[in-house]
Amino acid sequence: MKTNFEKVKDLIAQSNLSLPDQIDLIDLFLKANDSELESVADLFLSDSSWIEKINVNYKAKQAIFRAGDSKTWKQILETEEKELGNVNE
Amino acid sequence: MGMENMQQKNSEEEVVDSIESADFKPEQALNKEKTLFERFSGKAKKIARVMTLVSALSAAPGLVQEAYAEQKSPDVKVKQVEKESINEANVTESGKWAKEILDQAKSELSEVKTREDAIHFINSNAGSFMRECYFPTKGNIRQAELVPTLTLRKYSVDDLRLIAQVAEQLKTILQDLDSKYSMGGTIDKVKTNLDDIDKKASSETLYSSRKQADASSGYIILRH
Repeated sequence: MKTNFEKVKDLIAQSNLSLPDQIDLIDLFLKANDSELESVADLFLSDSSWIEKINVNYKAKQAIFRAGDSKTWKQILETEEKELGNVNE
Repeated sequence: MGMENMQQKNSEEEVVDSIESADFKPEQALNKEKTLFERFSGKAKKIARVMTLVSALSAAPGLVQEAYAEQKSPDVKVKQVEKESINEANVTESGKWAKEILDQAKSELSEVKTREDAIHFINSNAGSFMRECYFPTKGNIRQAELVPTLTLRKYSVDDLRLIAQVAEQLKTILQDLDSKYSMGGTIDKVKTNLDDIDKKASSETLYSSRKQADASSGYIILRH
């Protein structure tokens, strides 16, 4: 039986992300506990378009945490909020 | 609207506005995001949980490094390593893997004939190098006390010199492949990571007295 990380890794590997981006995103999730990845595996499995969206989200956050950019962090939260508001049940 | 559109600025949420004027504090930023997401339910809440996890994982290395640094001796100093002199006798298992990856890469280079071959080559060789740098599995490793999922590795000065050298040589190989096969943006992230590794491995953590250093001394995180 696959672990959640293996599920996430396989789904990312099958995505349209570039190989470096795949490696980077897989490496990000390597840092998580497997139980924390259950929601990630469920999301990516139910809608693979979220792999690219989460990758964009990750890149933006990575840049912000490196730069300590509070203004862009605010913009990210606004964008996330709108994105979540548009999610249909 | 896609998440890519970072220019949208029309939220009136007070919880968000409070962030802008303050100095950026990662832990505070994570809490704000978590608070903001509390009002969502169902599928949106599940997605919010993933976004929050991504934030925590993106922030964690910096926070870990900061917290870890507080455990070190106040005598810690950082200086640039002289890259040209590596004493092979002092290279440990914490550094030997880097040379093995470089040797493997060099042996496979002649088999690269197309752009697809080059992408595969970069993924397997530079990818292996980056993964082992950022997520150590070989050599003198131990789990971080503050973050159990994070692995630290103890390096000799010559291990770090070797890793920096291998990073530089891999960058040279990448540039060569880029000029031959027009890799474009495909390898930008790899170049950035190799630069990052080269820079970090070129910084040597010295203690006023290595002999007197405590058990955790010498464990270094080579990571963003």
